[in-house]
Amino acid sequence: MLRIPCPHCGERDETEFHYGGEAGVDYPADPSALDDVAWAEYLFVRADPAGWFTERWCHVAACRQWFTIDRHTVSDEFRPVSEGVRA
Amino acid sequence: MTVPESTALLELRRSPLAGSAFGLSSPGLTMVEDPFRQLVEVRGERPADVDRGHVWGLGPGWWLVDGPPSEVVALEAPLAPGNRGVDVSGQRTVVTLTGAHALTVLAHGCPVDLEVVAVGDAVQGVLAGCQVVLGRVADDGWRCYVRASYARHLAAWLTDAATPYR
Ligand SMILES: [Zn+2]
Repeated sequence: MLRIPCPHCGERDETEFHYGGEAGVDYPADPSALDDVAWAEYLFVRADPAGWFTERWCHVAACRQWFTIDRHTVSDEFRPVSEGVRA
Repeated sequence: MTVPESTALLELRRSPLAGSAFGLSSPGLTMVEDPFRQLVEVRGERPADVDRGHVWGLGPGWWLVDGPPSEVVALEAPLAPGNRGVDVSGQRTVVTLTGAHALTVLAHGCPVDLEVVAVGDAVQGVLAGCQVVLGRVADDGWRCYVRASYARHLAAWLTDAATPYR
């Protein structure tokens, strides 16, 4: 099981968290202007790197806060969000 | 239909653990339900302390105020301007655990490190599969807030987990 460091509660078991996917995926400013390809891109296409990935997590079983954190998708290490990446 | 007096209405209440025979009193561990507490969740700044009660921090800007039972919901939790309070008394019941083995029993089913929780602090987490608030009232005293619909499961689990300490 992953042990995820909540910025408010400290390190907790993965089962206390809800996964929010890749961070920094903005809702389109004008969704009606997108064609199907662009809309599908927004909905489904994510970076999926083999390495560091900036993600959203919600600590649903405790403080109920959303936060952004880097996870290494191969080693499952966590680290604070790298410089320049927005929540 | 005549409306009963408020004290008669109180007698109609059944706590989530009523009739479950939950409870333990042994030299190193006392477990008992403390039902019908007035519980108010506050969003904003920390509310003032209440008489014969507790104020627990649940998360950033999120508080649980626990006051003694009352015939009417009358818990006075003075709020700072812009803060909000919601009565959640019916949401949970409270189980108190006291004694040298209280922390050990909780630790049997809770992966959170309870040793580091200071007296007066609370943690939220999962205990035996139930989402709970665990408030530390003393070195060897805890208040466990559990949803009413999970209370019987948790009581059965606590009874089982306490077997070595009875
Ligand atoms: Zn948390």
